[in-house]
Parts: sequence; structure tokens; C-alpha cells
Amino acid sequence: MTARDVTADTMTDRGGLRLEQVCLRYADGDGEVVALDDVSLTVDPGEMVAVVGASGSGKSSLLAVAGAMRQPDSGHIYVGGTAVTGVPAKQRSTLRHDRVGFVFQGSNLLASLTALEQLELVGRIGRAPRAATRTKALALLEEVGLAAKAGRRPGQLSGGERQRVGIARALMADPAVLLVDEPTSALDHQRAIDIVSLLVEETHRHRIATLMVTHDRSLARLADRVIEMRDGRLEPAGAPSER
Amino acid sequence: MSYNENFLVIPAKFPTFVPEDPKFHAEWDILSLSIALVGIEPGGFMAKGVAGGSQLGRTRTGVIVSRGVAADGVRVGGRITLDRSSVALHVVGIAPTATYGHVALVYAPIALWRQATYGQVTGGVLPASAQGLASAAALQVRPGIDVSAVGTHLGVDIVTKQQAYAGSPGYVAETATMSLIIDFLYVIAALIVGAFFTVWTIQRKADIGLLKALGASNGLVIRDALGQVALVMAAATAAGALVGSGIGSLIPGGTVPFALQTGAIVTAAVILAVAGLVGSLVAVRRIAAVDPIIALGAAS
Ligand SMILES: Nc1ncnc2c1ncn2[C@@H]1O[C@H](COP(=O)(O)OP(=O)(O)OP(=O)(O)O)[C@@H](O)[C@H]1O
Ligand SMILES: [Mg+2]
Repeated sequence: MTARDVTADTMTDRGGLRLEQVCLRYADGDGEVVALDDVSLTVDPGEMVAVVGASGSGKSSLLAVAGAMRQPDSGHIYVGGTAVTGVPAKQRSTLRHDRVGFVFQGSNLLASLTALEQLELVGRIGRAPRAATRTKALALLEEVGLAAKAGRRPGQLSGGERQRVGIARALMADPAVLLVDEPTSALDHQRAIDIVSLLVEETHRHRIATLMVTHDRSLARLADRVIEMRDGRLEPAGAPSER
Repeated sequence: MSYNENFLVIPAKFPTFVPEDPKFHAEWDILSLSIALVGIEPGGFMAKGVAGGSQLGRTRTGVIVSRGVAADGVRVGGRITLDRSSVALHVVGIAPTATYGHVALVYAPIALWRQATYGQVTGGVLPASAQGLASAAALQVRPGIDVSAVGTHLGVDIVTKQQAYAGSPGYVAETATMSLIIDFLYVIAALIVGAFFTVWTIQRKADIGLLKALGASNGLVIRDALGQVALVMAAATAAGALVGSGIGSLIPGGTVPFALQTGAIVTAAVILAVAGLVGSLVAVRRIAAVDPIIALGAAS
């Protein structure tokens, strides 16, 4: 959060998420798999876009390049107005911390830390002042409805509560972009709706550009926009080939 | 005036020094035992170094036995006879464990030792030629004195206490074997610690991937891991040294030639900690290789 506050343009024009003609191929034995095929996509600040698609269609690959974990073979990616393509690994990890929030499948919390500590860890990685980090962490836990359970470890929280901690953690560094991978795979339908609704709410409140991968179309419908991936290509949902 | 080093003068070309095997077969009551007889000057500094040494010389045949001899059942007031000498030894005191080539020591006044060592052929009568003979002489010198110059001047070899130990039968072979075992243990310890931290790293791979996904740099994750390694190593080494000293102190010194020295324990602990850190570097290299992408699609 410290690094972002000094880049003046980010507050006025956070830039959201922009992918321009992105291609990603994986070597596969002698041949190769085209995971992303000329993908262009813009997610505006304050907009939540849901991505649906069959297994192997390239949804996780899309998140990996958008989150600067994988460099695409071609194309450009901008996160909060800054290019993440062609940037060395160390800078990409700083960028990830400063501009990208991740909400993982199955929450992915550290077993030994309390809910509060999970959030404070993000402040520690960003070398933010301790007191400010704690204040912010408590405020975010309040925001996701977990203020009373700040001292609990993941083992003492329900699946939905763990995912709420995951969402609060993703918001800790004031990200420009929120990347969400199958956030509800471990939850029943009602709790899944609650979690996705919370994500939509936070996206709007913090004016974040959110990209959420899900296989559940009824959940995708809660987003502002739904796009579909098929064999590495993006199509608007409801396009011709939908059953 | 302070004397802080002992030296041993051993015979080279000096006529009054004749190397003698100090080992005797001895009998006490119905017991048969092996002893190493050492003659010392009653009232001299060597005698002061022997517990109860002041008793030596009060009677012509009084000796002090080390604990190893006492452990065989020999008591103060007892009488020991020697196989290759007609001399009888009367036990007047018991000193702590001391051995020569694994044979327990018996301290005798130098005159009695001469009688036992050189008097055998003549049936107890010490020949004139044996007067003043000794196997070696112990020197105590002030610091700064050039003993090797003194040795050259006198035509004798002068060696330090350590070198004298090294010259005793079997000493070098045995200590070399022990050192080899100890050195191997250090290497094995480094391997075990390296393997431990490697397994630790593999187990925490998901957590490390997560930290990197959250934006932690390689440097941060590695520093964090090394810090934890150092902490675990320090705690484990301290605990190991404590347990080792605890168990070591239970080993009776009389039966096993075993001594726990602070210096040796500290050295071992430091070597272990360093070896462990080196071993853990292998594990740390794996941390750098963890891909943050594993945090995606990790269905925990
Ligand atoms: N590391 C890799 N090496 C080779 N091929 C890969 C690799 N990762 C993904 N792929 C391939 O790339 C394509 C897209 O994979 P991706 O994981 O993005 O799909 P997905 O839509 O997330 O699928 P799912 O819904 O099952 O999670 C698939 O054909 C997959 O087999
Ligand atoms: Mg996937």
C-alpha cells in the first residue's frame, strides 16, 4: 500500500485490468498446448467480470498471466495502469503485492496464523508500518463480518468464514485488480451466493477491477459481466455455441 | 612465581635415563591384577598432583593406588606383591582414575620404584649401577623458557605433556580412530540436518508458494527460512549439548575412558550448527525454485 500511495495517478486513474492480444502456450511433449489464444479483455475499476468455461479451457492460465505469475508468449498486460509484461521477476512480485489481490480456491490460508495475522502478513511483506497494518486488518475483518473471530485460526473457522478471511486478505494492499479462482468450490449453494455477493460488494465499494473464475453459471450471473472461455479464446457468454 | 606447563624429559643419550616398561603383574590376597608402577619424588610437584600424595614416603613401601586398582577390591592397608620383583607394596591411599596404556596406575616413592624395576635380577638388592636411574623426568618451567634449547644443551628430548601422552602405547591409534568416528558423525549430522530441512521445505511448499503469490520476494522468503533454520539449529544444538552432558555425566569415569570437557562440547556444538546451516543451504535453494503459481488451483 505504501508504494501505491506515492504513484499519484493510481488513485485518479487506477486503470483496472487490461489484456491486449495475449497468447500463452505450454510445451506438451513434442507439440504445444495453446492455453490463451489472442485474448483481449478490459475490466474497469469497480467492475466484476465472471469467467466461465469447461475444464482445460484456460481459465487458470488467464488468472496466472493477469496476476503476473506467468509471462505470456506475446501480447501486453496492464494492471492498474502499469505494464506487467516484460518485467523481471522481482519487480513482478512487488507489483503483485502492491496492485493485485488474490482470492484462492479453498481460501489457501496459513494453518498456524489467526485471521488477523493472515492479513497482517500482507503488511509485513509490503513492509508497511505495524500499527497502520493492524488498524487496516481489523477494519477489513469488520467489513467481511468477521471482527468477532479475528483471533481464530483456519481450523476454527467454517469454509465460508475462511473464504471471507481470504477476501479480506486480498484487499489488504488496496489492490487495483482482484483475481478470484473458483472461490466457492468448497461451499454449499447459499454460502456460495453469500461469498460471490460479498465479492461484488467489495468490488464496487473499493472500485477494484475484479476477474472471477467459476464453473457455476448461476453464480457468474451475480457479476456485472460474464464472459466465456473456450479452448483459450474469450467469447461473450450466451454466444451461439451455448447449449 | 608461577609454573604453568609440565614437560617430560625422555631419554635420548642421557646415561641416567633408561626406558622401562612400568607394567607389572601383581597379586593382592587371592586377586591377580595388572598395574603400571610409577615412581615419583615424595614431596615433589608430581606427588602434589596425586590425591593423598603427601602419604608417599612416610614409609619405605607405602604406595597409592588409583581407583581402577581399588575397583578390583584392593583396600588401604592391603599388601600387593609383584611378579617380577620381591618387593611388597603397602597401600596407603587411593587416588582418582589414572591409567597407562589402559593399565591402572600405582604411585610409589621413586626409591621403591627403582627397587621394583631394577632390583629383580639380584633378588631385591639394588645394584649400584641402578642408583639414580629413571625412565623420564618431569619438568615444570616458567612460561617463556625455551625448553628445546635446554634439551639440546643437555642432549635429551624434551616434550610437552600432550606429546608425552601421544607417546604412550596405543594412544595415537586409538585417538585417531575416535577422531575419525567423530568427524564422520559431523558429516552425517550435516547430511541429516540438510535432509530434515529439505523435507521441511517440501512440506511447506504450498505455504511458500502462497507467500510468493502474495508478493513476497525470493529474498524475503529465503531470509525468513534461514532465520527459522538458525533458530531451530541453535535451540536443537543447545538441547543436544545439554542432553549429551547429562548422559555423559552418568558414565562412570572408572570403567570407560571418557571425559566431558567444556571446550570439546562447545567446539562440537559450533561445528554442528555450522554443518547444519551448510546442510540447510541445499533446502533453501529449493525455496527459490518454488513457483507462486502453485497457489492457484491449489484445492486445499
Ligand atoms: N503447466 C502446464 N504445462 C502444460 N500444459 C498446461 C499447463 N498448465 C495448463 N496446461 C494446459 O493448458 C490448458 C489450459 O489450462 P488451465 O489450467 O488454464 O484450464 P482451466 O480452465 O483452469 O481448467 P480447470 O477448470 O480444470 O481448472 C489445458 O489444456 C491444460 O492442460
Ligand atoms: Mg483452473
